[in-house]
Amino acid sequence: MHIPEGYLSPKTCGILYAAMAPIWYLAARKVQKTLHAKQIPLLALSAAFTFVIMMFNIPIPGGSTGHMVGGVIVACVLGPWAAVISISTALVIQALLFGDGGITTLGANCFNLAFIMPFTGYYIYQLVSAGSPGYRRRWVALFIAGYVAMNMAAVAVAVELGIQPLIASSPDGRPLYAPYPLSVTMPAMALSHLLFFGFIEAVGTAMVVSYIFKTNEALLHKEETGALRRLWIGLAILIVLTPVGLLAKGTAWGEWATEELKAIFGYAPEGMRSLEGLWISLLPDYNIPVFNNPLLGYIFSAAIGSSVIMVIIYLAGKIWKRG
Amino acid sequence: MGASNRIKTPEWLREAELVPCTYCATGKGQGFIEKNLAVIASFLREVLESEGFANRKGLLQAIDPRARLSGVLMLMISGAIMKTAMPLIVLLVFAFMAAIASRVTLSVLIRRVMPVAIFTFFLVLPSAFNFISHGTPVLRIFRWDSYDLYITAEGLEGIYIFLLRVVSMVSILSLFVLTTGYPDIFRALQSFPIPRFFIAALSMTFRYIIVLIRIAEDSHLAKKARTIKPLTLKEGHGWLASRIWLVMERSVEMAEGIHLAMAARGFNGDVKTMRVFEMKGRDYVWVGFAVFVLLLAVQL
Repeated sequence: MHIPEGYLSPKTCGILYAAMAPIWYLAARKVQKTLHAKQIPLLALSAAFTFVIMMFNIPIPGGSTGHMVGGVIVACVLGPWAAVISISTALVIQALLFGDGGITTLGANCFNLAFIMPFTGYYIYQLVSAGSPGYRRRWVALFIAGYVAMNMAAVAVAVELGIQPLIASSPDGRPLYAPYPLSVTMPAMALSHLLFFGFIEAVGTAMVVSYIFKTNEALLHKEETGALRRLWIGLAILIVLTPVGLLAKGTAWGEWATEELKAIFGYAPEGMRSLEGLWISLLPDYNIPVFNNPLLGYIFSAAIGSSVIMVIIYLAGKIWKRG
Repeated sequence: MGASNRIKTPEWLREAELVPCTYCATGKGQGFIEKNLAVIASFLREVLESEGFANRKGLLQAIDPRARLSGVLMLMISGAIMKTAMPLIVLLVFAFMAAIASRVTLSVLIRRVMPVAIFTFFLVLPSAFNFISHGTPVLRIFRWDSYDLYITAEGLEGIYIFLLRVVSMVSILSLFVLTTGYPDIFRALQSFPIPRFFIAALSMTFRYIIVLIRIAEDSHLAKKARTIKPLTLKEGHGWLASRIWLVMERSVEMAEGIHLAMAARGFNGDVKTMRVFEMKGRDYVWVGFAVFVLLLAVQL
């Protein structure tokens, strides 16, 4: 998962260092506020812990073993902001003292492993385990958090590598850095992480954090009240902003109906025509005939859609809570 | 001695299986305990190896660590922006010449660079083919009907330059790691606009990695010594989770203790160091040389 020296163009390295600068600054501020004078030894020890667990091989079915990153474990114990500093410290040690990863690619590695991974994992865990979860739901929440976080970090690596041929080529079009386009890097990274590395991280995260719950729950980071509320407010704002989509002209790329396809290419494929009309939805084209107004119909459809989803999630949560 | 006095092998010991062990250290196969012990041993070897070379009297060791780090950074940026093969070859040759002048054993440097080089080679190998790099055919693998598979000149050139770039940059970084002692790296970092608390945390991190590694090694060795039968996957996971937890518990305990010890000695968050670096003529020459290479790389 560590991107070595020479794989990324100086432009990409510079941009990712610039992206990490405010994250490091914010993380340092947050950590200073929450950990106070204890921060240096605690951060140092947690970084040392991160470094050590990155070396552990975890057995997986089939007799093989694999390494884990441990980003979600650190985020669950210290909180996501402290995890940024802690994992970054471990990555700096790996690069500067052991030549693992790289100095020029340090910004990129920190962005993927010290920012995307702990934040994704931590908030997925918070969402799935919201309320008072039992052992089984907590285990599943941690498993999902580890799995998704690892895959998100892998996608970020795939994007960073896959855009190199686009942004850095010689005058004759030859790639100067990582040579594969997104069409190759995305499936390559996604497949290996969806099928293998994601499971290692998921199992590792679930077993270690569950063990902490059993032995010393007080050690785990307590989410300040209101963090999830802020997430809900953000989601509500997004729902309210849904009609902004009406400002866009035309149809979304690739979502063409057969008539539109015919207008663009001069013909509509036979297979598509034969399948058209197979399913007629309750609100075709987000339109409600009673209103006779596409704007009102669109907003009303969005409200119905989001309400149905919320009811389903609420019911699933009720059933889930029993587990 | 009568048959009744013979020592009987307990039933549980008879069940010990001498089969390839997937999850432990017994039998013919290499389980995760054995693998973890190998990783720990290799890590400790690397630490000692670097300390050995850093204490020798050589070209890079004689340069002020701040100047050394600045120069290495500039050389690596130069490697990153070079677009053709020749300057990268020169950079690689320079890295190896600097290694000889710094009394670093070449086989050690090569051993550090080889894993990345081999990984990169196999990673980029498919890009030599026409389905990734279109261009002039150099070697045709097969042709049948409309299917044509061949290696292109453009693909080979891409691999060649990419591999040279990675190998030269990793060689320079490894050379720096091998010739600079850990305390000097942290002191050198203080000259850069990096928050002091972060450098102090880095320095402590390194020291406590060694302590935590020892705890992990001891627990793995103890488990290996007590294991005669392969563990099930669930047992393996349970044991590993408990060991990771042990390392974490010790980290938190130590963090508390160290904080109290630091507070008792008057630590108020401000990090001070004893050693004062002094730049000499050769340090300026080294930095000037690195700037020169960087300026050349921009033009090449």
